[in-house]
Amino acid sequence: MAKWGMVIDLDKCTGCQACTTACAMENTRLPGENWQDVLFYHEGKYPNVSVKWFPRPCMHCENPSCVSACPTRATYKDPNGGYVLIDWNKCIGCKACMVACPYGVRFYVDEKPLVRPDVRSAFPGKGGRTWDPPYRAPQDDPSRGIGIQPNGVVSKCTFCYHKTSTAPKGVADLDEDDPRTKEHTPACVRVCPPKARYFGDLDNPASKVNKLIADKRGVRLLDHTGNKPQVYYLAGGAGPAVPSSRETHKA
Amino acid sequence: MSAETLPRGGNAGFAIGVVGVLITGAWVIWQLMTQGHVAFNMSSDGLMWGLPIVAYDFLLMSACGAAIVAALGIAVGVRDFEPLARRATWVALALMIGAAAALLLELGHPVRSLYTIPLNLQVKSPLFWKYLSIVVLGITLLALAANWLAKGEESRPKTALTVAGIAATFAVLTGALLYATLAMRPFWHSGEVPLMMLLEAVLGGLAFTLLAARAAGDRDGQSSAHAARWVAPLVVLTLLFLAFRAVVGLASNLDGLQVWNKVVGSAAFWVEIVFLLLALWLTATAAKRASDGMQTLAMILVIVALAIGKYEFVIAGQLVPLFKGSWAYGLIQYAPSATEWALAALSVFLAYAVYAFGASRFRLAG
Repeated sequence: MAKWGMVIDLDKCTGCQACTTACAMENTRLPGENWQDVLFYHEGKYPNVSVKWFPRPCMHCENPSCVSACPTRATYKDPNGGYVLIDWNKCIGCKACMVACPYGVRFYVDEKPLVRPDVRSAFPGKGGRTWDPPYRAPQDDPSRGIGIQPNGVVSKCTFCYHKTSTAPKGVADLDEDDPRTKEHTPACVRVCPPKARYFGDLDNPASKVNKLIADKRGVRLLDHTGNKPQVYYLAGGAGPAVPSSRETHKA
Repeated sequence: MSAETLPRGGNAGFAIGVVGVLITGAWVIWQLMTQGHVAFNMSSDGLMWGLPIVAYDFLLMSACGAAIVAALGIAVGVRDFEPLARRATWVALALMIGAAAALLLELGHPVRSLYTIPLNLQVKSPLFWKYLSIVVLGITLLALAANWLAKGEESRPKTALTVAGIAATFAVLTGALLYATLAMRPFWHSGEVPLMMLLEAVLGGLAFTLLAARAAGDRDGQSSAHAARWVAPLVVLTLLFLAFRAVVGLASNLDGLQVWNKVVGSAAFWVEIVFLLLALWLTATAAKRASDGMQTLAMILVIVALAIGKYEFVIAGQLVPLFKGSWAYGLIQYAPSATEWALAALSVFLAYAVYAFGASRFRLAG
């Protein structure tokens, strides 16, 4: 069985946020609660300031700290595909997984809205859902954290499980340019205008993702935590770099 | 039970606790019914664990500490704690109930948590083991309350208190392990934290018990004064841990430890230090330990200082922003909402009401 992974080429990424938008539409996300964020930040001080950006999906780690933190097995590692998923029927909303995740990829939407006005008041949810917008994607699988997020649970990127898990067996890469795999490609990968994202089988030596990681020295975010992300970044130096350390408070 | 052994003002205390629970509970329930958890100042890109978790953890750890004090007195045979064992047992149960209120009103699915944690056997999670130990502790304390405290028996339930002491210690240490998962974030968790949390739990439990004993006028065999001898060394150790962690935090360039700049720059941190130093001074000599007023003040100072310390520990560890939303230099800004304060107050009032209920009906003096 495949172990799906993603490669994001930061030299190609233009920070257009098409991935963010596609993900939000595909997964019916509340505004601001983006499973696929693009972070904008600046480096340096005036007059030597540069704006940079950094796309950040869930890393679907090989050794995820969120799984060990969850007391109910709501968060689990699916051996078929290597996904890290959440069973909304088991989640108790304790947020231990959010605290344990070093990447900030998890969302608990019951609290303060990230974008105002709060659209939940315009489209109140029924049946325990956080909201019911006029448009919603058809897929609904609470045992894998797919569909509109219910109240009181945590959610995260699923690597578009509903699309990728049905890919033809044995394919090395899921590419929007390949008619066989187009419909099985994650939404964020499929819409990326500069084709900065690649999705494929990390266990398949012939996959393009493995070739890119090897040829362009793919790196993993915060590798020292031991989570072993299945998302790799390529940064040859021409574009934004993987932020490995940050100034946060020191004057 | 003779009139002499009954504490002073038990019914009045119970009434105050109930009124407090009704007022704060009405506010919290109204807010949760009309707004839900939006009434809390937490969000997906801000803090995950706010004041309700601080209140829960502080009360629960103090409850465990009180249970350990009771176990030390009866099961281990630490004579200074023996006269306090009955009161410490009831204090532990009361604090635990207050903690449960804070947690259950914060969780997304409180009822589901009661059965999904034991049924799914996620043995890798510290929360699973903490839950199990808290259940064992709770059941043991209830049994002790029903068979020992309520009947006013003179027996020494060594076995039950041994179980309670072990379960309480295990709960504190697994609770510390839970915070070890924060090590995945920019944070300052390290190997000494479980020991520090155990120390703070015992100091908190002892302070609550001594405060209750002083308020009850319980000075049988100068029990309070003898047990209060332990407060000063525990305060010294707490100060040492605090100083050690602050110095390491300020000196380090490690990502995330910059939070110590904010912690040390806050007034609350220095209030915590001053309160602990004052409590040390008030409990350092036998003459001062014999004074009702000074000891009451000292225990209040210890409790407030430990609560501030818990707030710093839980909140400050989450202040470094993660990879979410727009990138932000600086730290996450957080101040508890009125509903969060009300929930914290509700848990304290509930613990107080439960304690006062038992104090007015059971013989808690040793």
